Amino acid sequence: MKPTVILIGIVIFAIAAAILMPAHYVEEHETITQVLWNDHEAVVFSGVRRDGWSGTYAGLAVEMLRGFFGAIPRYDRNMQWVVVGHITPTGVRTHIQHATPFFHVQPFEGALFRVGDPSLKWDGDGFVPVTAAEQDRLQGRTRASTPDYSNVEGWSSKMNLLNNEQLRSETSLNLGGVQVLVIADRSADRIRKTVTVQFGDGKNVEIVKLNEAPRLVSANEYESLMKAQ
Amino acid sequence: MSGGADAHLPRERIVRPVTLSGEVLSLIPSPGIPLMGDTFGGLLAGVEPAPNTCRATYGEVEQCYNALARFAGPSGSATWRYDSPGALDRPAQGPDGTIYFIEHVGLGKSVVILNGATGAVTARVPLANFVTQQTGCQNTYNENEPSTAGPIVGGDGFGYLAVSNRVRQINYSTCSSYTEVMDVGMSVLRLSSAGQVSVTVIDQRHCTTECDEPKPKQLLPDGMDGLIAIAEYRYAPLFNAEWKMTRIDAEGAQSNTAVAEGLRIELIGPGGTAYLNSKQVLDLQTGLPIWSLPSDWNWVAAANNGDGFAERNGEVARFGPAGQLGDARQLNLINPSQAFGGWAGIQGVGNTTTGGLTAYAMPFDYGTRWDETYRQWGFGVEERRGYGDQSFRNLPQLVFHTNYNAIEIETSFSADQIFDAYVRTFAGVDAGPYASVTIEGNTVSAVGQRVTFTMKSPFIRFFQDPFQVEAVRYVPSQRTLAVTTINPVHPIFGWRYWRVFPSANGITIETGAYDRPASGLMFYSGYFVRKEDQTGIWREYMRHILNDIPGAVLRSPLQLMEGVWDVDSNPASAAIAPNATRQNILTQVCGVAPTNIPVFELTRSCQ
Repeated sequence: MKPTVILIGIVIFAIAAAILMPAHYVEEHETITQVLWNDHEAVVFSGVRRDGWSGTYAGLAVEMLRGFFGAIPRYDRNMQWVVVGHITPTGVRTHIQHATPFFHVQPFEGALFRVGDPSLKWDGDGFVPVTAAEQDRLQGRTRASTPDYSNVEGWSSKMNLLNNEQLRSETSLNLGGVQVLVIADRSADRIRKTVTVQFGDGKNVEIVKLNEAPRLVSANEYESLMKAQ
Repeated sequence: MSGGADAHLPRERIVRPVTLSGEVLSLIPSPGIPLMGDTFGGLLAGVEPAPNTCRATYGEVEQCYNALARFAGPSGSATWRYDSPGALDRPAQGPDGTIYFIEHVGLGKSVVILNGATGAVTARVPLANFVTQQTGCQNTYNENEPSTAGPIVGGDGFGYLAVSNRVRQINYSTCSSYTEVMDVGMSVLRLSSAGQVSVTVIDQRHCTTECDEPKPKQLLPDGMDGLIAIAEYRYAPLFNAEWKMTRIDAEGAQSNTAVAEGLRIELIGPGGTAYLNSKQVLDLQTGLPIWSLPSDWNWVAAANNGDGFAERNGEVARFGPAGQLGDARQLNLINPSQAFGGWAGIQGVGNTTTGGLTAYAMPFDYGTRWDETYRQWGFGVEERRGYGDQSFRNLPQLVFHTNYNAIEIETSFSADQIFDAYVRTFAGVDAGPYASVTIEGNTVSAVGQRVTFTMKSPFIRFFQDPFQVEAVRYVPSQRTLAVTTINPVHPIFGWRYWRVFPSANGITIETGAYDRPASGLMFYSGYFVRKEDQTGIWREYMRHILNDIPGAVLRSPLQLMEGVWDVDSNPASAAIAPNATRQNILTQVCGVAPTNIPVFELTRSCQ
């Protein structure tokens, strides 16, 4: 057999093997980010979703071709969570609310609630079930249905911090006499998004830091990233 | 022409889109003689350097214009102008918008290829000149333009041109005797939008006695994915002319039929039916005549079943497959054209105008594929009244579709609260994997406000810039918002509405769209590749609302949330989505149903 034929065979085999090799990639995206505040504390809620696609490099090429025409990849898994940053005059505590898309909390009687069955109340560290009496009172409350509002049940709101026409959005808050700046910043190409809290003494605390570029990962990493929460 | 613009009137400088009832929607100044509607819903005009500059040396009318201009069309569409350094002939346009035309500069002739959306030149294809060279006692060298027919656009979307060639070499051995050698022929060039050329030779001869190159008279599609070229041939002795019709089928096979001198195909119907200026109807597959039109009638249109429509002194009639006279109506229209599903034309008799542009409803299964009908214009002068490729009337990219998603939920939330929290903010779109939405002030609160969609995937963003829609109807009391796309960046052309209303089992949130791909091959292809995404983005939107409203219980079929397409032609979907009809969607977009949907599609005016 001629060496040329062998070489061509090897090249064809290599190409075939390459396109049939498994490929996995993930993308993470911020969905909605909202800051709510009263006169002594603020809370940032930032929804994140991770979409995953798994197949072969040949399938990936098909997805890229579809993307060329504007079609999104046919993801086979997705995960969603909400990053909650609790801002007080002394600092920031970050908490992850797992396995949930972004939710609109409702201010009521000076507190924040996830109204549902059962309803949950923000206690500064996480959401805890409400009492029966609170549940009854919640049903009869006046709801805030606009995204931005001021002093509704003691709370104000600013929505879509990372989805403004401006790349950088600053919300200046006075929490119990301490000046705090909530800075939402995204790069012009929308790949990088951050939400940072800046205190008057120059201290910066990052609540959200996302890189939305798609990335190829190994099979193990894919399983680890996309495993059910 | 879409919208009823009276572009076929000679020397007219104002275009008037009109409705079926005759209402003139606007007066659009034209930069030149309006020539044709273009692929993108606009108009093309030829700008004359001075009146009556045209010549008709070879059968094709040539050198009429010194510029080509695009104007009118949907809001947001680009206007452009191409100024020639010489003169140019009438254009032909492909389904992707590519424009082909002949340009004459100096002694040369070339095909210029333009991007019809921008007017940018994508290629120039120079044509070989005729050459005559004398040597010996007399020593001269002359070049002049080759004769051509076309360009046209074939069924495959490529441009085609029939062109002759001639190289004549005369050697004077003495000053009174010479020998002559000639190479003559005719070819059909296939032209891509990028200017790539492939050649099909129809005739090529090497002569040592007198001979002449074929003169192409007509080039047109055969209605069966092939081409027809009609040409005049002269063989020695040269005073005998022979006319031949060459059919090049879809596989490239050629067949020749001798035809009468002066033959011209005026209409091509479906399946290769040709309607001739001799009044005969010809089957192009067999070359055999089928039937003949009485000599005092003139062709105006072909029907899909092989029937033909003709006019005589303002009367329009249908002729059956054996030539029998069917329906006939005296419409008193000069040169009636098929429009609005019937006939439109200037009222009058002969060449005497008695009224304005008038339309008559007379529905029929319009089947004309190609129209080169002529009319008498003064003594012995004919002027084109049909204009080539009729497929623009039925371009798939101009076909509008409907799609619709909805959920009915049982909830303690009011319809107003849902409208404020989710419709005015597009919050559910952000929660999904498709796009991020940017709204000034975070909520829609007035007509004219724009909403920007940015695809979430960075890879898609590389190809698709953020695109916008503009609120055209905002009625908080009816909890209804409607938008239209801002083109040309938006990949879709059309309208969408959202509405929230109390219904039998709770509150219904619905969105419906009436749209088509935006102009351009990428958007056209993408529309169908992305079809799942177009309802998917609103499925995720509905899912977000369902999940985000505390205690909401879904009461409608899942299929409604998934989305349905084109329910007007899909009774099964119409049964579960009665609000998804075109009529209802357009009623929600406009507040009342538009009275004339074709005009609405063209002008975006709900009136």
